[in-house]
Amino acid sequence: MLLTKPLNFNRILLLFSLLLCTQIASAQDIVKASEGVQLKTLQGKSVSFSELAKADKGIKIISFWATWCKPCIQELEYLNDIYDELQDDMNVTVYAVSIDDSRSAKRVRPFTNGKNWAFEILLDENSLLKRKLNVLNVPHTFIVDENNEIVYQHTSYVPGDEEKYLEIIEGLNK
Amino acid sequence: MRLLTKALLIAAIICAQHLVIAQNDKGRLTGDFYATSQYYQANEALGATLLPGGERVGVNTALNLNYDWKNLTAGLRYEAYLPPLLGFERRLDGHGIGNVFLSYRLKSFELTVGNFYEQFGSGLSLRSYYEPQLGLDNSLFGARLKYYSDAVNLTLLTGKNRSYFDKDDSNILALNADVSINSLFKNINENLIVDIGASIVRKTEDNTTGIPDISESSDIISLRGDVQLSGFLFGLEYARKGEEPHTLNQFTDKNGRGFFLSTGYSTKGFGVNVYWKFIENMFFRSDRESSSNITSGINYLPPNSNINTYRLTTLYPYATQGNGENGVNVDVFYNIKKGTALGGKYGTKLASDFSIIKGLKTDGPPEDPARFLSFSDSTYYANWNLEITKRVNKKLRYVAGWSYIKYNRDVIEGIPRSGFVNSLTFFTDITFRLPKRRFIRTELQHLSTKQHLGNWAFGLVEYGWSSNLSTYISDEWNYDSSVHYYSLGLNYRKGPTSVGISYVRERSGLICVGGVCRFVPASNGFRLQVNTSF
Repeated sequence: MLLTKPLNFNRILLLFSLLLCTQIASAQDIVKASEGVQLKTLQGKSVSFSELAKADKGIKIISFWATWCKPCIQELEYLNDIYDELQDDMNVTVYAVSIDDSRSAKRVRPFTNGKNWAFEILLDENSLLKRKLNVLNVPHTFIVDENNEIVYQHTSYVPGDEEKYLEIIEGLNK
Repeated sequence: MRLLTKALLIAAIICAQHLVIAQNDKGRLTGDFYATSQYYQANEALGATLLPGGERVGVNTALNLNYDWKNLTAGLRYEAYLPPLLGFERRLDGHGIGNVFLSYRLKSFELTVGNFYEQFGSGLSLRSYYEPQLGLDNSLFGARLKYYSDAVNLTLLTGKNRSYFDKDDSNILALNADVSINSLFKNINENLIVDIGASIVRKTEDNTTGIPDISESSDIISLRGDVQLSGFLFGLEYARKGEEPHTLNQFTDKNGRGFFLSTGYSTKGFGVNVYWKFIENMFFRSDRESSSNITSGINYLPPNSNINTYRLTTLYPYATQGNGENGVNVDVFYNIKKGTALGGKYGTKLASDFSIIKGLKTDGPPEDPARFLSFSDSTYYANWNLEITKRVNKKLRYVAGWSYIKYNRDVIEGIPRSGFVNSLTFFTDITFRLPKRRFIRTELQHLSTKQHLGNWAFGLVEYGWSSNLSTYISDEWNYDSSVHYYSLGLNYRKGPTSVGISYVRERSGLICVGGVCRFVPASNGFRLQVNTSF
């Protein structure tokens, strides 16, 4: 019934402070945040994302994308071009989580193979992980450190964003 | 000053509690928020109107909160449409809690009560989902029990479909099982992967239509299987629906059938897939008297057509004909290796999709049951796309291609004797990187057709000032009628937050997500969009 009352200055301040507060407390553990969510691999196997993240002791880039999302594809293509370097020199695994629904989920495998992507491709067909991680739109990218803490996240993509990712990852590797 | 002190004090207490909570691992609060608002101005030449009732400002917004504590998750979504933006159903007008749930996990079990989302197989028997772009949320309100293991996943649920800020009256009861044959029989060749699944969904609804002898319950049974052997893939789903008369199928007493086949081969650098979808009387409805295509759907009937994203290729989109359609779709993806003459330094990506969707063939009049898998002579939709994506060097990347679309307006828009639209669109999308993370991106598109509104051109230039800030200007020009629909805007992004402010002139048309479409009238005005998560 918030909106039926007039918003006064006090309330705005309080809301603003709460927003700041959520920013402070926003460090999240990806293993805990994704508990109970089952995704599918390209081989059709159900996997728990939480278990997958727990087993991976390296740095992770988790990128939410879809076959119909142009900026997502642009981002992943750039990451694919530098993926050897990311994997071998920087200890990074990229998890490309497709939110394609059943209309286009079957496209993901020929699509990613056709593009020669080397990432770990996962299917989130009914957007369970997407909702769990509060992702509103794709592309949305997370960087997760070795302790599974989300250290950075970013919505949308513009050319040059991957340079920012590299800076953060270099910082984590120091 | 007293106000400020008070507010900060309260915030500090809550913050401190929050931090202590986080440290003790007693719980975690996360959430997201979006708001889209538009100020409308009428413009006769564009056909742009104000909101119904003459209002000038529309807002769609939602705040989503999730709280995790040990094995418990609680969630709540507060939504407000004050009033809904143009093109959204007026019945959304108002505000309230659109979604609330509590979920508990114990070992291999998970129990959820409240609103939840679910999908069985490809959704042919049941899919509840949230698509704010359409104003669609058919979450089920009830209870769901899930069991997970390596070999078997089971779901049992019961509930009612959400309909705006209310619920449809019918009850839904459903059971689903997915079985991994490889996990059951460990000695299977590891290159061979076999999964099977089955579901049964029952809807029970009182007959309030006044039409005698309408069965109060209807069922869908669906069986499916997927086989993979090395790079080959074969998937099949078949669903059968019992008699279910409702408004969208003109109260027919026919049974429904759905058949979905997907097969293909892919290896590094190449992929091909073929899909075949046949559906007859497959709208499964939680309110038999509702005629809305946005609410009251229990299952999901994705169209067997390509997903077009360039602006002019979305002028003639396909909407699923749930009462009967039969279509084939072929996708081919190929990567020309890097280091070759055509591949260049980074490789060249080619993609081609072809789809054709026709009506069903019957032996007698059209309302008779159709011949299984037979195509009628009537084409509903055909589309052929070819697209090249190439990164030329560190700075330059382009996408270029064309899209041919044949569009049956009689069927898709339901306007009798409006005929076909045959259109051919060419498009290019060029990104050029500049120093200091700046960039410039342009799109040029041209659609030619002799039918409907005639030819269109579209141009867009986007300039990135930094990784946070970009600005764009675009124009969509129907040059047979000399109408310009131009837009300009500014987008700011930081972390999980994005803010966009723009002036938009938008043509009327269908906005479709997954074959579910809403009609959006032409509009003219200022738009503000905010998205964030925490």
